[in-house]
Amino acid sequence: MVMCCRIKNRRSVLRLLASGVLLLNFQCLGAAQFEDQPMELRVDRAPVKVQDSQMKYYRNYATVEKALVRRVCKLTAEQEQSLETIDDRWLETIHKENLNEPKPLGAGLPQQLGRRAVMLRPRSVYAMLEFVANEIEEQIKTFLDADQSKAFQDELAARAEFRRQANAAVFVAIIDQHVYLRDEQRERLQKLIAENPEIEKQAWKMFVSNRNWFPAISNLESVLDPAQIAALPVWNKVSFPAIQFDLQSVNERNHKTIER
Amino acid sequence: MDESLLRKAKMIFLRRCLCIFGLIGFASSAVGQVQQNALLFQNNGEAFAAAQELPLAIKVESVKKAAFYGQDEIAVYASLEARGKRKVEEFVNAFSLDEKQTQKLLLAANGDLQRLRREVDSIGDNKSKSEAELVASLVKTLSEIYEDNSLLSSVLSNILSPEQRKNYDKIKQQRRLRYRTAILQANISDLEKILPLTSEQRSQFLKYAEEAIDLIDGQIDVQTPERAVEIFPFNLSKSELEKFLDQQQIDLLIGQFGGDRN
Repeated sequence: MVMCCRIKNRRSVLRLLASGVLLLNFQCLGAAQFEDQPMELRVDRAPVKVQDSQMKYYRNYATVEKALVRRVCKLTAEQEQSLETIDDRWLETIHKENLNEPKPLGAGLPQQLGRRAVMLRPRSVYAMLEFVANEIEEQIKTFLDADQSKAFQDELAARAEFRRQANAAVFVAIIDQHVYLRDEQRERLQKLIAENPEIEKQAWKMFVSNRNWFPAISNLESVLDPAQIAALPVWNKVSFPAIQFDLQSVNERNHKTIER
Repeated sequence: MDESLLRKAKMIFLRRCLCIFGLIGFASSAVGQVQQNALLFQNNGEAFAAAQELPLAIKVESVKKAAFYGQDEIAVYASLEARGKRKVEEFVNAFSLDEKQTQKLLLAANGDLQRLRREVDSIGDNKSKSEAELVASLVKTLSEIYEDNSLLSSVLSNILSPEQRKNYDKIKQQRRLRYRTAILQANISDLEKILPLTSEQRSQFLKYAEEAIDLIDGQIDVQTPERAVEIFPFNLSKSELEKFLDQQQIDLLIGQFGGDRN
């Protein structure tokens, strides 16, 4: 209808806009009157089929997590059987059911009408990897008793903390090579960087192999002197999410993970 | 003299004059044409040369852009100059250097920066190298500025007393040690993506890594830092690995990185 209208003058434009707003109002009011569920605006652009490399990544991740829980907890035969339910079929179902991420709409007419409106946006490939990895860990916990679950959670937390500190130590060492840190600066910087959630996700090898690249670390000025800040290679702030390399590595011929 | 004969002689003279003028005219026009052609040829030559230089200018800019990651050349030099000064300041504080020594170091740092500038300025002269080679060379120079093979490092070695040099080596050694330890920890963290470790096993891994750090010295290739994780577990015997890893984990390590353990 809109396409058919010919815009002759300013009044026509205003009429066209008014009709559009009215149409939107009727749709939202209709939804408000007849539906109790959250209103959904669906944008389906994500591919339905699980890509091979994604599936390999999920499978490897699940295998490693299952191997970890076996080493942390003494599992019963029943629990072992339950672990086996995290198979390709389960992974594919989780993937397909969560292709879209619900995001609440921040403003607009639906909110004014008191409706809980959400928009389903497709997750990116990397967001999907993180989501499914998290789901695998949560699913494993459901098979464990309270003590086992706590022990498993503690190991996951210790591993994450170790990764955070190890990555931070690499970046501190890189900065040290550029600006010659004092001992107290080194400790403060380690703490500052370890607290940054983005640094943990960076592929540290990329920064080690090229000293001219530098990760974007905020609030460095709270630790470094102005002279040190000036000496940093600010021209090469780049980002290399490690998950991209992890996804690539699953396709490498000699890539192996623990079997059990 | 016969009047008719005189008229005939005049006509012949006029005809010859016309002929000579015609020849002169033709010759002059021919010379003009040749001159014009020569000028045109010269212009074409210059245009050709300019056309030859155009891709070269683009190449130079492209190399700079790649090596400097799109940043302004002046900003890059300013940052490097600040880094040089910072490095000198570090040495002055560490070794209580006097004004004369400080000036020498500042001059050396400036010399390193000038060397980089010269390399950047000579990109266009280096026609035999490909763009990728030029970028790689410039990136390498950027990485190594003020480092071990620099003028600054060489001057520093000359002005330090044996005692100061010993201290300097100690500082460098500590920095290297921290760097290697960080790389090893990150390597172990990455290894956990394929080989799960409990907290206890991780602690054991780290303990062996710290013990083996001198063994690994010089073996961590800057370009392939992931190799570090391949080095230390396989310098342990299988019986040592069995103290903190189970059979599946050991099999994976051997399967992934090769090696022959008894």
